[in-house]
Amino acid sequence: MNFILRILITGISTYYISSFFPWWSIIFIPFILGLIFDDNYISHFLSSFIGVSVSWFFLLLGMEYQTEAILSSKIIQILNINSTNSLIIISAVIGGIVSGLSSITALALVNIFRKKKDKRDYRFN
Amino acid sequence: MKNKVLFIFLTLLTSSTVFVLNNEFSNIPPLGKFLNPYNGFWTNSEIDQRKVFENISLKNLKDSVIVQYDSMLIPHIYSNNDEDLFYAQGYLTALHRLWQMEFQIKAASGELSEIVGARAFKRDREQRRKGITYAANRTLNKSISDSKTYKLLSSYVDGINDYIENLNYKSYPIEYKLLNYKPEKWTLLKTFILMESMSDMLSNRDMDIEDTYLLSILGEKKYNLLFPEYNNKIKPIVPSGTKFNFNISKIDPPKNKFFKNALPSTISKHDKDNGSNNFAISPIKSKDGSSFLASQPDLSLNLPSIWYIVHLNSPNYNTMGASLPGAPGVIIGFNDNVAWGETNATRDVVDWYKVEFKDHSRSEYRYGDKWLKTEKIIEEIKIKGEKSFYDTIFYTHYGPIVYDENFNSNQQKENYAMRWIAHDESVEYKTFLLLNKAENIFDIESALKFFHGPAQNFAYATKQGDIGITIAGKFPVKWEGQGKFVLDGSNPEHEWNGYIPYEHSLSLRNPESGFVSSANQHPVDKSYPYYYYSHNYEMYRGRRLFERLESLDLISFEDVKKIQNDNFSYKAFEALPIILPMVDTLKLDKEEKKYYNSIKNWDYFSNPNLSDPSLFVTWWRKIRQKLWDEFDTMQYSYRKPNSFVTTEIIKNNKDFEFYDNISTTNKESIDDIINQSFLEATDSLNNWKETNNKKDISWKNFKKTSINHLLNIKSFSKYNVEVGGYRNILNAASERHGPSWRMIVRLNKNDKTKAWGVYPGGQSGNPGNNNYFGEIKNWGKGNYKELLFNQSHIDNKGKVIYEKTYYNK
Repeated sequence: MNFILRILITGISTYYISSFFPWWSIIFIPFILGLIFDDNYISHFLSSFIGVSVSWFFLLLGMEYQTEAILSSKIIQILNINSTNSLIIISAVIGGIVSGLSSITALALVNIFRKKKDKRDYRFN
Repeated sequence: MKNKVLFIFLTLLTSSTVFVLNNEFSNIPPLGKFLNPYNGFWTNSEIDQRKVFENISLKNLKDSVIVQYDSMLIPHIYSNNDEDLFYAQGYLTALHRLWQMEFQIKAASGELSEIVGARAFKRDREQRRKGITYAANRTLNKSISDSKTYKLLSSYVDGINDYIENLNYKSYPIEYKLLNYKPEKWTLLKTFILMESMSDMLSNRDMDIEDTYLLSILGEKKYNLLFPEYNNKIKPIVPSGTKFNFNISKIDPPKNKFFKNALPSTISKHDKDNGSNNFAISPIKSKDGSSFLASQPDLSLNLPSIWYIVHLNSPNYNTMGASLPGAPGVIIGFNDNVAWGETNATRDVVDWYKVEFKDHSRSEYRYGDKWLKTEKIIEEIKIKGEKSFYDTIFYTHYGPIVYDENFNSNQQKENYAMRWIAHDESVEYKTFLLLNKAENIFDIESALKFFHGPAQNFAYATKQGDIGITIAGKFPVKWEGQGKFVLDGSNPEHEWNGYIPYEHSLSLRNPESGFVSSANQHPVDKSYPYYYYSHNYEMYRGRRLFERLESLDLISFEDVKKIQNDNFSYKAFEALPIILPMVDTLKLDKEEKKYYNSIKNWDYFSNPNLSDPSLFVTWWRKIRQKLWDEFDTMQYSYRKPNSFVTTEIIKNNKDFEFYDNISTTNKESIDDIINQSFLEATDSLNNWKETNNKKDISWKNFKKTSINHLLNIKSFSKYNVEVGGYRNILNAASERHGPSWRMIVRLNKNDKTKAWGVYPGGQSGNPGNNNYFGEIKNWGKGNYKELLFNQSHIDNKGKVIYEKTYYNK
């Protein structure tokens, strides 16, 4: 449940990021979620990865549909990529990796403090 | 501890991933920045033009302005004063063409390496050494002393800058995102650099250094035979036999006028096909009593197009036509009363002076019995991803020393200063601002007084029924032969002798023939009292144009269109009757015979679907290669005789020392050359068919006209455009070069002025806009569109796709 909730929060908030912010502002929400939710590294990475890449995927798909791939069909030749679909997937994966990394960084930060607390608890016992 | 390490590791990993994706590495754009859906390249797609126009924000207006766009995306600007008019022109041009505007300036001023890296270094250094920015600064200083011109130019600059100010990464043109840089502020200087780059493109092609070398090896007699200045077949712009009502005393050439010098290589030259054609037809020669003006500038075919079409309307102006993105007003166009167009006058306005320094400090050079001081300028060439390169350039009173011990000099480390008319201060901008609002032929003629260069043949027609042509520009007075070869910078007798006064310039008004025309040919025959010269006068198009116009009567719009799209190869018409009979048909096999019979029956029209033009061009190229192979062994920069001379020599000489092919032991005759070339040509055409998997060698497929993006990005370019013609043909579309704007204007006393035009490209310079390739297809086929041209915006209703009024806030 926790996992799916995180995907939804990441996905929806990423979808509505303004074009005035730099692209890497996608790292903030996963970072905050990494701080808040208690889960393991793999689960955090995946939830952020899926949230952002699916969000980007649909954003790009929508734009492609609206613009009839007028520009992406030219860009793939410059970047040497075989189809516009691949380009969309590559873009989405890039977004996913960056946000996934961000969420587990937050988790690692939390874990520094958590372990300390655990130790203290142990001593009290 | 383990968690701390993990945290530090992940922090570094995340931030370095973001860093890597936010920066450019070895020419791959910053992927995160470039591919993200918020402001990456995807947002540059423009399918709905209205959405593009909705972002227009003209915020520094003095009064209200109405902007309309027609279906070709031509902006129609209706303003209440001239400042607002040019402000809006600047803004709207930048809206469609900002990247191109800035890129062209960077290219002209030699700052491309800053953007694209070391691959532009050689070019940048040449531009610096030619002193383009130096020239622009001088023209700028002179032009702003005219306060009216200054005001209008500044409004235009403000318009561009207000557009730039509105931009953020999302709205940067795609090329900025690809190369990962930002638009800079526009300046008046940049507008003048643009004008100098036109001068560079059109007037900075010379062969003085090459010819100096050729003269020294060939000797005067042979040199003059291979590179003649004039031929009686030429139809000059001002017809032969024209009497001049002035006389000047000829200057005697000094005793020592020639040098024996050579340079291993000279700076890059602009395309020799940079030319054009224009003509005007008087009402007496037209079907419906209209006068016609047709103008067709032949330039490199690029995307975004060099031209941007605008319609400018204010109480002072109502003008339309082709403008240069980066410069206000209209360059080739019309208003309700007059129409004008330019072709390059080609005349030699660049000379080279050999300079002798006093000592190694290079601070002084000899001039007569004195020593003059040089001015030292250090140019910093910034190179993306590398250290800057510093180039020291010395300026003499002639101009910059282009070749010296640091750059392209010969073993003797000689120095050559460039004397180029474009380095002089001038006010040509005024000419266009005056032309745009000219009302009659007198207005035009007096506007041309201010035009210094690049020297152009201005043809014009008026509503009153007058036509004319003036070869406008600043021309030095020279002694016979001066500046054909390298001059002696230490000899004051080698200086230019002032300038030809405007009253003595070449001009025709309402000639009896009922037409005027030009196509980069000789301006006049040798009876003109002043010495003139160019190594590059065109030998074919001018004659074809003249003969077409001479033979036609009751000319209509359709006739004019036919002339602009005329595919007749005058070169083939003159050469084939000489070389075809020399082919030994008995030795041809079946297929070769087929080629032979086909070309024998060819009517010399280079139409896109014929195979004969492909054969002729290949055959002729091989003939010239074999005939002039002696030149290929030369160790310094040289040029070869042109096609016209080649034809004349084959026609008039059964025996000629250059006929022999020096790579064989036999002594070849001209028949051998022609026959061998024919067989080689058919061979190479057969090979072409095989490699391209085609059954025939239609001219359009063989010629492969392409219109390339300025960065040569393939998917931003159009290849294999279907279009006829070739170089030396009126429809001058060659591989990468051709008519960059076809315009026809009809002016009639009793009717509204009508105009038609088409150019190979679109108004929008954005490869993501569906207008980007624009009218390329129609251009190739010679389909023109009538231009929407009304004095009042109300008459445009129903014919525009967008309209908005902007108010002074």
